[in-house]
Amino acid sequence: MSAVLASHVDEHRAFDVSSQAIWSLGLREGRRMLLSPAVLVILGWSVLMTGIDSALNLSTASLPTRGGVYEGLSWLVALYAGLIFYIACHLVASSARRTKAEGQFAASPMSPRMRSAGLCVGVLVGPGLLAATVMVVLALLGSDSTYSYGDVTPMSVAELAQIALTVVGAGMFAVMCATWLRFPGSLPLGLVVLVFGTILMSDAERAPINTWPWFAPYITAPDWSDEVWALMGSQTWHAVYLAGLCALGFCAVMLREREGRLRWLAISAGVLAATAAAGALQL
Amino acid sequence: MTSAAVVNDVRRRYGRTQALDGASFEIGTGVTGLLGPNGAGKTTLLRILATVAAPDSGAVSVFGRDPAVARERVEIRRRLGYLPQDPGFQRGFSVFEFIDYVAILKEMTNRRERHDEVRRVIDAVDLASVSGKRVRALSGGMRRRTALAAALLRDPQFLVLDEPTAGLDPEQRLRFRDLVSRAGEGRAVLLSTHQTEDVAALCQDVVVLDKGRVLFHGAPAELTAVAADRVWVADERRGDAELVWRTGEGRFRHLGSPPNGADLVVPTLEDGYLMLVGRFDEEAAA
Repeated sequence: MSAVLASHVDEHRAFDVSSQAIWSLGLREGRRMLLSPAVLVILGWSVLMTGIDSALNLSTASLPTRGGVYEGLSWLVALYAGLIFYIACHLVASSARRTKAEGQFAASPMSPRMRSAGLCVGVLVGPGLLAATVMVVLALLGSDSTYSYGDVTPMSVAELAQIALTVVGAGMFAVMCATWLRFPGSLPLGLVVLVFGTILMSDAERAPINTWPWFAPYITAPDWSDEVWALMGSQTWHAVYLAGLCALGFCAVMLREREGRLRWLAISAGVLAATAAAGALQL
Repeated sequence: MTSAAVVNDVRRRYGRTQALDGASFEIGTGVTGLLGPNGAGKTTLLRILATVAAPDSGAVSVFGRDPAVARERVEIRRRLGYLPQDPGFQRGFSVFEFIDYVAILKEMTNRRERHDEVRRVIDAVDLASVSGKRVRALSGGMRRRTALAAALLRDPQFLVLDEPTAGLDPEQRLRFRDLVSRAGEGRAVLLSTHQTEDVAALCQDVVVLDKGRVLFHGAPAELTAVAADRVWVADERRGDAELVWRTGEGRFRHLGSPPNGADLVVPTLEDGYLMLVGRFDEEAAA
């Protein structure tokens, strides 16, 4: 009665299979995030409104200038892409819970932690890659000094990286909210924290002397000159600091499951120390 | 007999409800039916065997591995197919996309092989004509077959099916029987159902669960034998039977101690099951 229907499985091969599965899942989740109704509806709305606006001003309209494209793209991605992808990533990350599909998925070899890791990979290869691509386009557009950009000053590589990292950070924050706050309403709750936290830290009366805006949870856009920004500190270290926040978001997602939590606590402590150091160096 | 799963004195409580109360049995290759009234603990037991839930006490082993140990649990899951009682489907997924997603969760990383496997299971449950349609737009029976197809991915050695025939039409139930009987060749299938006809048609082994305890474990013929000489038909309803119902021919089928000269008939598995569950109630009351 003790004979068993089992076969030997090589441990190393099993680890490879798990890593590949996380990557495959990440590609799938990234695509879902990009094709989320939240993204399509908001982008569709923007295109529609722009079209209506152009049609109404047809007589005075002219072809968009290089500077106009640069400015429009940078504002769109810097201010709105993070918020749009926060919603998209949260919808994807919470879909199994909301649709009660978790019961089925729970019996699969991919543990909840691996599935969460797949979501984080999805944030990187979906919204993250898209934002990075747009930043490369902006870098190419801004690299030609023979063109006039009007009021727009082409951004440095560090500043462009910051914008892409803000999109990744918003996605990681969304996965973190969906993973930890497993109840209806966690999406708007996270959004409120993201937006109002930033508003609180960007208090115009206390700026520009204090440096709170550089620790805000989301991107700030106070009406400061480049000189004031320069006084705030290093753009490069700020980009590193934002990368640290993204990594911390990933660690928070990994800490959701009990098994192996001690190991992830140790890793999180290291990432936290590095992020704090970058936060101090940026000032 | 090779044992695929062993359940030993398993207990599980949800609040004040004792869902499982010392259940013990072993199942081997072939199809095993799990019968029991509502609230008997069938779904809880299947969830534990599918490694989705853990028992409060007692031991469970699947393929000789302990699901309480993370590494062994993964090994079990690599050989497992599970169809829950109420499968959920993510919004926006077509049949193909949903099954493909589950295939990724089952660690099928090669895209081409995965898609071939997805097409194979879709054909197996006869959903090829709707594979591009949104799952949530399909009928209940088709959704159930979609979930069944997902459970069949990677040809699992142990298939745990919680009421798989609920919502299926008669033709689909017959197709399902064919599918499960083939799946049971050399593998283990545990099938929870309220359809005793399915158990009679498919299962080599049957477990009856009631109030969290195993009431019966044996061959379907043995369960049928519980009602031997205790089923009879009469032209009118008799008060001395435990259960009476009017048949399609207009006669009354009685279960219980027959009176002298009763017109005894050959019992079915359902008769045996009803007698068993009814008797347990009497013992509990005593």
